[in-house]
Amino acid sequence: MIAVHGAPGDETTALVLEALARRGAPVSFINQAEVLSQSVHFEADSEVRGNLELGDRTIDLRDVTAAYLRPYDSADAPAVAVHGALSPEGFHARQVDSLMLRWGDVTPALVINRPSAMASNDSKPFQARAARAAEFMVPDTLLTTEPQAARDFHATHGDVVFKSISSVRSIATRLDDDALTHLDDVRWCPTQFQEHVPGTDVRVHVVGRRTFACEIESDADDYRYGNSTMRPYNLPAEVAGRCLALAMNLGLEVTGIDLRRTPDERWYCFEANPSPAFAHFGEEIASLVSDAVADHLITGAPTRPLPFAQASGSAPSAPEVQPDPSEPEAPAEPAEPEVPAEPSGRNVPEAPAEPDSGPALPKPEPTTREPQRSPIDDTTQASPIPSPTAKEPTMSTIPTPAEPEKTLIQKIIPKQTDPLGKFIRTGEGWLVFAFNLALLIVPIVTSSLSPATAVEWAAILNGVTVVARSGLKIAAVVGTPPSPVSQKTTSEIDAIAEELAQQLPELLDRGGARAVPSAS
Amino acid sequence: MIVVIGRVGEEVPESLVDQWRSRDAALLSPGDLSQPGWRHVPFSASDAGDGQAVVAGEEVAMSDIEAVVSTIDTITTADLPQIVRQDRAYVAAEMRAFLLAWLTTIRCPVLNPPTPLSLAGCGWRPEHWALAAGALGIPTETVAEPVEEDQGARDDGGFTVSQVGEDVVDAPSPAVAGWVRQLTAAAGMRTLHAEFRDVTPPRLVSARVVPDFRRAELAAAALAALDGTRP
Repeated sequence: MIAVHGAPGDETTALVLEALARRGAPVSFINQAEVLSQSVHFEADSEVRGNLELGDRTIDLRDVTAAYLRPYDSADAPAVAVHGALSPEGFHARQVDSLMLRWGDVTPALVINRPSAMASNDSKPFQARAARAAEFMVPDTLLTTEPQAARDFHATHGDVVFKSISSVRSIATRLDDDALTHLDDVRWCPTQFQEHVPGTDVRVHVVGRRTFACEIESDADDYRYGNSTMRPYNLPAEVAGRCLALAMNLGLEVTGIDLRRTPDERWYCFEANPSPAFAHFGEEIASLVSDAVADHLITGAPTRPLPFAQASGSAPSAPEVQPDPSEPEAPAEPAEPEVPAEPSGRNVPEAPAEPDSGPALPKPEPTTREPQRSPIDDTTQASPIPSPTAKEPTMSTIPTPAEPEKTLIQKIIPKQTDPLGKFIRTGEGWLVFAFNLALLIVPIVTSSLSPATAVEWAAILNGVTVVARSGLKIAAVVGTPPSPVSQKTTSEIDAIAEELAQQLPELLDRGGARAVPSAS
Repeated sequence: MIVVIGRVGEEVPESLVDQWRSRDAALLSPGDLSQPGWRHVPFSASDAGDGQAVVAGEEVAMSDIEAVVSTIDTITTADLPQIVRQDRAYVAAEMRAFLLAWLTTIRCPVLNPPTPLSLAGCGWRPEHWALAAGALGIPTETVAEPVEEDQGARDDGGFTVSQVGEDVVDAPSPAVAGWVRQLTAAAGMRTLHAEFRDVTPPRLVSARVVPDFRRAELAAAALAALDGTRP
């Protein structure tokens, strides 16, 4: 039996399900929209065994021969979301997600992809190390909290982009004059700067030992956020071999590798996405890759589970792997790039933004926290919501709303908790300013007071206000018994609740259900 | 200088720093990643040893760092009070990603090299240890997930065994010492803290990579292991 764990609105998962159905494969779809009727239990010692409850059906996990895991955060399912992230339903949803991922790491079944292998995407420089081992070039990179170091790097390379280090979704952005004025913000968090590499983007999907490439023309530095045209591409065998080596090195059965071919035919690797949304790279690629994934799920040989095969991408050198010549379909791309009749290439239609990797030096807000609906909600085709469990990737083709200039400061990282900023944000500062302005200007303009008298009155009133305010604060502190809750505003409590909800998956991952009692 | 990665106020990393004071040990805490001064060029051969870190609030040239020990597996939002609340999750992910890259590309020895699952070693969960033990023929308790309420409340005695480098301490028998060595090797690590149920034969209950370095003999063994691997 093949298990598919995903959201009903996710096009990539849907393509895999369709391809499996065409082949008549026995499939159990673990539909995240129905997570409240699901549960997982497994045990491990010398073997892994357990059950998966899907409504009134029980599946023996030892009967699962292959699994395709592409989950979003089940807590985003409408049936769960109405109860809130910290509700028992929210906890149950996250527990199912967590246990499925944990089972995916230890089951002897073939898994696309094992969560421990997907974790390499959580650090792009870490992954780049594996890309170098596979003989790809990677851009000169600086990781720094030192504004001057970033300026020096910019001066050296001239053309520089910045982007997130982690898998949190980001947009690779040029370090232009405007961004240069905000470099002081990097002192709050290490930030990644890379030389800009000119050339043409090529996305290579690796499935087992097969590769499927498409060439991308885009008007944006980050093709996921511009108008892009894609067409199948005939990947040189040597480059295909490097892609296979990289996928093997990272322990990924399926991956979407972002390459750039420079005008002088050097090949740079930016990232290997462990959960590629191949549905959005044009119909032909979508069809070829989903068929290959289905075939691999049916006939592929499983890799060893985690304790016996630490996939780390840390191997010092990758074996030289060439496309398997015994596989007639290995280069699945047409020998000549096939240019569709109309329009030339493939203008990617409006497609949902991917549950993708993170914000750039920038902050995630605009791309990760938009109130989009999850693909778990099968009543909508709206954009997937990125989530901690969706170790997903980069893909997108999709013209995503451009980030307004005014968000740049927010994007350039963390802000210190700043008393002056808080004072101004709360409006207190503006009130004091307006109060004094009125005290000084109004009497003078109306000639009811001389300027000197107006200043005198302003001073008196401000003094009285300060004394009264201080008195009230003292009374509040002295007269109120300590109560952490009563001292929190509603918004603070909401923020804490949100933070706890964000930590839940991590707690579940780290300690399993044991972490829960203390977390709750 | 020896760098100990850990949280301010936690006993194990602070104890290591105290015990290694003569070797100029210092604590690198999550707060240090919010200090200007970090400069790391991970892929340039000429610059790889020429970066700069911030340790205990001070800028340190990479060439001055002899070795690193990590006692934390990740960075959480709770580690970042200096960051506004709405940015903490993002910054925590970025800092973790940075430390993983830093620890895997610096030239000096790292006692427990990180993996994508943990900044302090292999990051195995209970089921990984149980499976590994099962495969090695080591008697093990069954790990069940989710944990049922009556599990974990058992109080039938047990003992712990630690390995640091070549040294295995507290093993009640050569057989158990051998098991611990096998587990440590299977995880690709050089340190281990394993808990056994005291029955006949003993059964593995749990394991983790970072032992209790507050104990002088373990801290000394860690130093010996680091000295033995320095290029």
